[in-house]
This record gives sequence, C-alpha cells and structure tokens, in this order.
Amino acid sequence: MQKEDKYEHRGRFQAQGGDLEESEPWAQSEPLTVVKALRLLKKLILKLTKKDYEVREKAFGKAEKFVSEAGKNGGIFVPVRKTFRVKGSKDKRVDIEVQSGHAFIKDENDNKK
Amino acid sequence: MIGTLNASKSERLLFENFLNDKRIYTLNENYWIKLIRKIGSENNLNQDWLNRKFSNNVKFYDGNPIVSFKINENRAIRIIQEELEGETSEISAWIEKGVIGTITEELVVALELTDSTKSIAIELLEKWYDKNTTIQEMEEYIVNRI
Repeated sequence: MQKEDKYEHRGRFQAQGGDLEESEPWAQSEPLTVVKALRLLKKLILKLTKKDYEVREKAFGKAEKFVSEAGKNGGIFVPVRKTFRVKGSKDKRVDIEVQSGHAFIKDENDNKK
Repeated sequence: MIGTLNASKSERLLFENFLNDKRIYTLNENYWIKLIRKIGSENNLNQDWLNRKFSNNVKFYDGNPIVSFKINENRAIRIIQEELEGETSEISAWIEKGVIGTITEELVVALELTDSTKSIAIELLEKWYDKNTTIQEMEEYIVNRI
C-alpha cells in the first residue's frame, strides 16, 4: 500500500500565482475539523510575505468563510475544488482541494479549544 | 499557464444578481448545463464531477463552480462564475493538473459572464473537448486567445 493511501481523509490549501506556490496539505485517518482547517489556512498565510498575503487577503477571507460555512452544514465530501481568485490579477489565487474523504466538520471539542 | 482578459463594462451582463437570487442562479446553472451539453454532444459527459453540496445536501449557490463536467476518463471542465466587481468584465482560464480520482487534466474557466466572455468560454470548451488537443496546445491556445 502506498504511504498516502493509508489516510482516508486528504486535501490541501494552496496559495499560488505571481511566482508563488505554497500549500498546506492534510492527510489523516479522521475528517479534518473546521478549527484545524482554519489553523492550516493561518499556517499557510504565515508562509507568505506580507505583500503576497495582502494581495490575497480577500481570497483567504472567502476560503475561511467557505470552511466555516461547511462546518455549519455537516462538512463536505470529496471531490471538492474551489478557487478564490484575486480579481484584476493574472493568476493569483487561493485554492481548496478535498482529494479524499470528508472535511471541515464541526468537532464538539473545537468549541473548548 | 493562465490567460486573463478584461472586457468592456458596457457589455451586457448575463444573469445579473445571480448570487442573490436562487431563481436566477438556477436559470444560470441550467444555461451552462445546456450549453456544455450542446458543445460536447459527441462526448460522454458526466455532470457534477465536483461536489457542489455540503454533507447535509445544502447547495453552495456561490458559482464556485457553477458547473463541472467530466468529459472523459481523465479530462474535466470547471466553470467558476463571479459577480462583476470592477470596471471591466474578466475571464481567466488555466489547466489544473492535480489528481482527484481519475481526473488528471481539468480546464478551469473563471469569468464574469457577458456576451464576449461567453464567446471566449465556448471557444475554449470546444478546443478542450477535442481529445486530440494536448495540454501544451491548450495552454498555448489559452494564452493566445485571452
């Protein structure tokens, strides 16, 4: 069995365009919770320069909103691809990809963290 | 590889307010479905290869994507429709090469829908439906066209 196949729930957040390509993937045996997803998005933002983040700030906001919205609706099952473009730019964007399983579920423990 | 074109705002915006009115959204969605089925009538199209609903069956209604189709075993299309924000209407396109299931090549068209962006989208879809079009040819076509 391939290493990546042992995890039922996989996906990634990605920021790209303008010579930038950074991502934060997940691969785990349980569905990714909203809190952990938002943490991964923050981790991705921290990989970016201030300038790279600022131009994508609105796109990151939309990605965060989608994750939170999914949490209110029981999460989302594969296959998911969402692209939040930076309007007026040639190729700058933030992507969400759920490649396997289930993601963005609400965890009762999340509220306590 | 990506191409982006700005068109004049004086053009007619199609399905205006689609993100705020579910009736318009549904009309808009059906418009794309009919258009894509018409262009790809010779292909074995498989609608909604991407999930557009949350786990509780509630639909997104955000145009992202407004439609998605699998057009053969490894090739797909995704249309993202956005509200007009600036002074000009935009259309962008690129080939997504990440793997989900059997799909390894996806034409993504993101646009603000006007008569001219619609025409360009149709041209791109027609080119992509042709199984003889390679990824490299499609990327060159996108850059040259938009």
